[in-house]
Order: sequence, then C-alpha cells, then structure tokens
Amino acid sequence: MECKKNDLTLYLKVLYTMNHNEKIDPLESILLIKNMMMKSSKINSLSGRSSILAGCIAAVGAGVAAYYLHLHGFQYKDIQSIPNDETGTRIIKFLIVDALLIMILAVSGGLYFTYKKSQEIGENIKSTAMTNFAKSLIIPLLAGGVFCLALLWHGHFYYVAPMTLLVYGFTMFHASHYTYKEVSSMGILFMALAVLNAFQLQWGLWIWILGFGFLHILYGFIIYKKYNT
Amino acid sequence: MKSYIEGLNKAFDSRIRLGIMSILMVNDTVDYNRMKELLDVTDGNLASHIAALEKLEYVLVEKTFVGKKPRTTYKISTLGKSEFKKHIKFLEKLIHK
Repeated sequence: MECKKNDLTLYLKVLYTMNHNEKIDPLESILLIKNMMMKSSKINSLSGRSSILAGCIAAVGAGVAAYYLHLHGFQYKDIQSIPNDETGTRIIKFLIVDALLIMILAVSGGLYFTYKKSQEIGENIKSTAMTNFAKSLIIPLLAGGVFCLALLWHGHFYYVAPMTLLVYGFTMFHASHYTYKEVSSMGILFMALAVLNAFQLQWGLWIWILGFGFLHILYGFIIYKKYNT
Repeated sequence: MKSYIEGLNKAFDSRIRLGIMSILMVNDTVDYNRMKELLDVTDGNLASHIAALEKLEYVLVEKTFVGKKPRTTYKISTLGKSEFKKHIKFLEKLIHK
C-alpha cells in the first residue's frame, strides 16, 4: 500500500513537471543540462561493434599479408629489400590491394553501424556535430592516405605502417572532441605505437596488428560496455 | 534558506529554458529547426521561452534569408553565458550540501 502511494505521488510529480516545466530539483537540472550539452554537440551514434569489427578485419587482413609473404619465402622485415623483379612487384601489389580492402571493409562497416545506430536513437546524421565530426575525420585521413601513397611510390615500404598509425592516432585524438572521450586515449596509444614503430621498423606488421587490430577491439569493448552500443 | 533561493536565477526555472541555454553553451550558433528537434517541443512553446530569454539579453536572435526561406539562428550572449555558469555553480552547491 505504501509503495503504491509513493508510485502515485511520483507519477503525479512527473506529470506536473512535464506540463508546467517548472520547479525541477537541482540534481535533475544538472542532469538535464549535461544531457543536452552532450546530445547537441557530440556524436552518440558511434558504436563499439563497428570498432570491434574494424579490429577483426584489420587483424585478419594483416594475417593474410603475413601469410602471403611467408608463401613467397619472405617476412615482413624483408619488405624493404624485396627484389625489384616480377615476384617482388607482385607481392607489393598484393599488399597494396590487401591494405585497400581492409580499409574499404572497415570503413563501410563503421558507416553501416553508425547509420543503423543513428536511426535507432533518432540522431540526425546531418547535424552540425556530425558534420564537424566527419570533417575532423576525413580531412586528416585523406591527407595521411595520400602521404602514404607517396611513401609507397618512393619505395619506402617500411615507413607506411608507422605513418598510418600516426595519422590515425592524430585523427582520433582530434575527433574525440566530438564523441566519446575514450577515443582520445585510443588516439594517444596509436601515436605511441607509431613512435615505437618508427624506431623499430622491422616490427611494423606486429605493431600494426596491435594498433588497428587489438586497440580497436579493446576500445570497441570498452565503448560497448560503457555506453551499451 | 532564503539565500539559496536567491542564488537560483528565475529565468532558468524551466526545463525548456535550461535546455536552450545548455545547447547554446556548447554550440556557436543553432538554428530554429535544430533547436526544436533537440528539445522536442512545439513551435509556440519554443518561441515564448526564446522570447523571454531574448528579452533578458541572454540569447541573441538573428533572422536571415536563405534564398526565399527565412532562417532564424540563436546565439548565447556574454551576459547569458556568465549568468548560466553562475546558475550551474549554484545548482552544484545545492547538490553537494
């Protein structure tokens, strides 16, 4: 009976505040303010699932690359000195196609999950926050991508892995401004891996898997657990 | 007890006004449609609350034309920003009491 009475008072109170928009208590006000600030300036459609998926794709893609090199009697640490003959060219071509496939699959997976989530929670995908977020992703990644093509063009294969890690780290660190704050520490870890890789070029493939594979999966889980998306 | 009540700005005494101010605190400019969508309110309701905040000079309203369509955008004023910050500080004090 006591419980029922409390429920009724609560119900009436909610009805009253909804209709009169007045006299909300301090805690409720603060929560409302926080919620509105988040909702109006940050992207909440990113999902942990897309990060986990991207991580898996990257790990599998890198595994395929390692296997292909192994088939031809090479290891990642040999790629800087791969012979300039038919086999060498074929291996490099395969690695480039493999990298492009990883990127296309991971990006489309991310776009798909983001779109689905935005529909679910009713977030406008044409909002200012979304436009800012997209800009802060696309511009540095595009510049970085073209830079990496130049590295390939000049035959600096060793430097592609640290460069992709570095560009991605910068981008995530910057873009975190518009979304979950966890993304910023992920960006920092990517940058740290890039620097480590720059000193230990021969570890490139493993550090790359640690970054694009493991960190993506790890942060995907953290975001999934914390925000349930 | 009296002093607590004095610290709270009456202008922010409603959900919608709190919402409007919060949105404008973190966005440079927000247009009418976006504001309506975020707050999930009717036209009349939004207009009256905005008008009240505009009268107090907490919110700046700008009307422009995009082609033939009128477009209204809102911005927070320096006064609005400082008053709202005060309000938040006070609310926090009340909670931590």
